Amino acid sequence: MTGLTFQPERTAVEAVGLGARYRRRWALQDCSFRLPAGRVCALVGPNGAGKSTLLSLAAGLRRPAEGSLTVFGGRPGAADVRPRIAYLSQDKPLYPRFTIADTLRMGRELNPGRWDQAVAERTVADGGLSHEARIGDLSGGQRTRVALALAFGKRPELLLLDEPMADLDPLVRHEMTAALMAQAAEHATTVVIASHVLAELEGVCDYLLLIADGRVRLAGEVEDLLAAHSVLVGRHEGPGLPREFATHTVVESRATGRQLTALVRPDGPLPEQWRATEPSLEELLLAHLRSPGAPALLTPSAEPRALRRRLHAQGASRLPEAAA
Amino acid sequence: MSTTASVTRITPGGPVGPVGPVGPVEPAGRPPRSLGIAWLVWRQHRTTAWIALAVLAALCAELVWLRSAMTGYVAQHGLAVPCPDGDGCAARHAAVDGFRGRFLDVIGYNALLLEFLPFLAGLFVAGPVVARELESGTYKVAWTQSVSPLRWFAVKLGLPVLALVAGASLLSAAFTWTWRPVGHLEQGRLVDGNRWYEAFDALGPAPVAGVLFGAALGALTGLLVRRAPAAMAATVAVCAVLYWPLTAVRPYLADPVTQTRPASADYPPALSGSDSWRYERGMTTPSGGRLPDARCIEASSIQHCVTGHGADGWYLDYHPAAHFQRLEWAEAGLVTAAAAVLAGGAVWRLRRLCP
Repeated sequence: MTGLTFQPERTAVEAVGLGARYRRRWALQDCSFRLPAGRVCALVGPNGAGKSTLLSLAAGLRRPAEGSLTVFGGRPGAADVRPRIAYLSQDKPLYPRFTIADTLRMGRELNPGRWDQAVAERTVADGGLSHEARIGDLSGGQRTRVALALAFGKRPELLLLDEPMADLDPLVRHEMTAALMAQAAEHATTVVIASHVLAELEGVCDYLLLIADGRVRLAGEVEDLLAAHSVLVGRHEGPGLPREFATHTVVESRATGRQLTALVRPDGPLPEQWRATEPSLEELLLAHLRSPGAPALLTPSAEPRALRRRLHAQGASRLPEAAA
Repeated sequence: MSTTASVTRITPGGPVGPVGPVGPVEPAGRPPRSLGIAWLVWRQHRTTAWIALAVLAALCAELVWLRSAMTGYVAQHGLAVPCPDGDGCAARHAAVDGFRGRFLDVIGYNALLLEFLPFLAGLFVAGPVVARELESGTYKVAWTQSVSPLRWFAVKLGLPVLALVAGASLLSAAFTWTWRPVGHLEQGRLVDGNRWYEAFDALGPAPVAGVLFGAALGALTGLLVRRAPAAMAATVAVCAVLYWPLTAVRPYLADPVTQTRPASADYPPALSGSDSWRYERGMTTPSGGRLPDARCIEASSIQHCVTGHGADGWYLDYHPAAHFQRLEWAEAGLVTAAAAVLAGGAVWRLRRLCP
């Protein structure tokens, strides 16, 4: 299934120098990344990092203050792009006095020529919900299910989910994740899931976007990002880092007694006296969340094409000068 | 680009997928009537709409009854023709008093309701239509469907405003139709307190223009304040504040008739008690200038008081009943223009709000 849905050359979302501001506070600043189509991407970051802002920008709910963000090559609010995006906001607002049937009818009325009633009804029926139930009488988890049904019914090509599973019990969370993955696989949907519950992302997402303090820290395939890091464990005494770490980028290091544990981005062969293992996704994320100063890392597929072209053009123009 | 997408896409509208039990809650054969955003707006406000419709029907029925009762009374007591001077007039005064006792309160309540229509329209548009949507975040659901936010707003505001204008037109027409046969009888004494210049805001095009104004104001405050109770309160406050200068300019919307009287006359011209709207009285100077009314009517010697102020006579500016239509339409035009300005502000705000 993933073989079919993986389309590395198609771009779902691309941001270049993206900034968003709430009055005087910058929620996002100088964000550049690319999300290839067909990926299931985890959008991770501490509270207030700008995850929700990024998603609402991609959903066309707000305009960037600077830079650009494109979805499938167009402005998210453009008439030919908006129908292809579905968005589930954190608070899952729905009209409380509508019944579920009304809510799905709204989906049909507002998505002419796109709406898939069968998919939406199936999502609702899987939760054992009656169509005549009022939204206001539903539990948080049931509301999430209806909101997801509304999103699925739109047959989106890009599905943006802001903390979708926060109010679901573990069993329902598991079911909803399965439904989500089935949808994504069946329709080649690109999915972005914002979350700070790391456990809910492991094994689901194959792409990662980590933002902190409004900036992109990590972006790329989960596998490649994990492979680009090593956890080193060894004995070390004294202040500062061991000399043999100098050639590598140290993301985070912690000393317990005489034992030092460090997460590094190796550049060249690793020192032999240190035990090196590949980090788990959780270790990788936690290390980066604890060390906001670590330099950003974007895998090649996560570099914005527009930016890459510009850099290449600049590089080409600089070469003769260097030669002279 | 699009070919890769269509390869993996399961054909929409095809046989229902294999996952999960499919509850045939709605028969698939039902032809989907598509009304788009209009359906959503109707579904959101249908309770309010039905209640408003019921109230409107009841009021129209009540006005039909009121008119027939009033014209019946007028015919029965021969109030439609002027009183020939003499003894017959005493019985006539009693009949006029009887009319007033029976109908004046009812007319007054109806007029009051029509005068408050702009407030009601403003409250409805500011709160339930605009601010509640922004406050609860439900606009995010609407904005992330396939229709554009601007079109959604256009229908969302357009339909209620259309309904409000239609309702106000019907109600105003019914009230004017009820009021007219008795409004000018006996120098307007039958409807004292609701003469044409007193029930001005409840007659003719005034309520319709007022509703337009209220709705535009409600839309603007709703978009600016974005909290339903606060937006509603702000709408009422601003509506009340803006209403005052409007009534202040009303007499100047048409050229008045001026009546002058020399200071040698015993009394200045009366300010009340006629079908004319006597809105300003003052004193004239020998050079032709005007002085404000210095309460000389309360002085022991009115003449002495007037000459003491250096004046030599009285003037009175008034609008006869013939000016009624002219004033009504002039003010309706003014209010509609103000509504257009507010609506322009709302559109500007909308464009800033919409991504």
